[in-house]
Amino acid sequence: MADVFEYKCPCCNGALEFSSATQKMKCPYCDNEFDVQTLREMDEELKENNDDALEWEAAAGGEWLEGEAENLRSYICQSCGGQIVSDLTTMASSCPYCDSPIVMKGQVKGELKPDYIIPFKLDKEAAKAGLNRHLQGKKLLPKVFKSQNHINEVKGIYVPYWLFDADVQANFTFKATKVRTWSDNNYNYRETSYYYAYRKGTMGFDEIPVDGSTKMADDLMESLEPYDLSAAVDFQTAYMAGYLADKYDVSAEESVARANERVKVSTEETFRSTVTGYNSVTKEAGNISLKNGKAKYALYPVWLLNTTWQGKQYTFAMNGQTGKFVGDLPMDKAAYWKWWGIYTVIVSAIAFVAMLFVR
Amino acid sequence: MDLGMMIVIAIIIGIIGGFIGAGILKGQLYSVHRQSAAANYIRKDSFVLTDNKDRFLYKKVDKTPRPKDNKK
Repeated sequence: MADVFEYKCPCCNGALEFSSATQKMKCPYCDNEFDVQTLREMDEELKENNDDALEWEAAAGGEWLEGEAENLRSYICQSCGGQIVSDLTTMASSCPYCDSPIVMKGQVKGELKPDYIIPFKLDKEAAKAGLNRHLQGKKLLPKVFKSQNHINEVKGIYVPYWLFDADVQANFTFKATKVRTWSDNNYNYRETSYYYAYRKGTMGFDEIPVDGSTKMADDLMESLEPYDLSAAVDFQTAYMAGYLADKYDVSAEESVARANERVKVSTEETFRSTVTGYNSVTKEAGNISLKNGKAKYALYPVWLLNTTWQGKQYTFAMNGQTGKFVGDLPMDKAAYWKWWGIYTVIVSAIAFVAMLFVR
Repeated sequence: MDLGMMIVIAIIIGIIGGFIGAGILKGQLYSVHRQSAAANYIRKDSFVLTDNKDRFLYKKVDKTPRPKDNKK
């Protein structure tokens, strides 16, 4: 049976939150900070305490849960007694009544435990500042977008990723040309020499990320790359307190094809880059064979900002580790034509003057 | 080339330049795209070429007559 717990401050019993600034658990009430490792040891004690709570929940919520079991689960917040409902793929959430961060322990257990997590390095304010920076200097952005759009919500989410390794053996045949030109009094000559370049070799790829959640748009998530995996740590539930986390709902088997597509493109590019000294290189034939290692399951930090403007929704995302900010923006058509006109006039003038010189 | 012709050509070049310039500004608005490759994930020093041959196939020469200036 699933149960819920939160990290309580050993000093004042307030609900702890993970602080991206210090990478420790921080109490917003008494300002004390605690090492995640320390809390993990305390967690063992909490588990024993929760066994009792488990039985109580089963008794109270049993029948209701069966009806809802398809898509929802409900839990009791231990801070205020409020009932929390979440869907099957949400791992952490905050209590809607007292805003205490909680981690759904039941959903975190078992085979789906992430191998790695990259903790949040940047906080909510950094995300909002990122949005403001993103809107700067964009000449075709409608001027009122900045003032009129309102940020509906800023969510810190751990997005589930499958990480794939691949060992590649490949061989390619390229056709390449070298061109030489010269002239005499009567003719211009162009000599094209044709070569064939054969390349065979091996290469490896590590930890190619593929977004494992249907709720997160794949192109938005891929735009946030790269993440620095050297900052990844072994998964501990403490890092999730204060943030939402999605569990994967796309399997590794379904995701591996996407990783392999990217591997193929990079493999061809790498091999092609060894064919040097020619004017042109084209692939004639190629063969790539891949062997995938065991997929790993990781949680990467993302700040999601949703905003509406003129009835349309815009989604922005920021890499919670590096601060890279992405999101498509609306275009002011009038500004587009204004700048088109300006460039047209300038380029026409330059072209005209150039022709006058050449004449 | 007469002046009128030059103006027309200049305007055509300008129109093309206008679309290019405005197109670059438009491109600033779009930052969401799929990643086609995995260059960031290549394992360090893992690329090894085991076979490597460049062979000459054949050669072709094209010749085009040069425009002759009128000799008068």
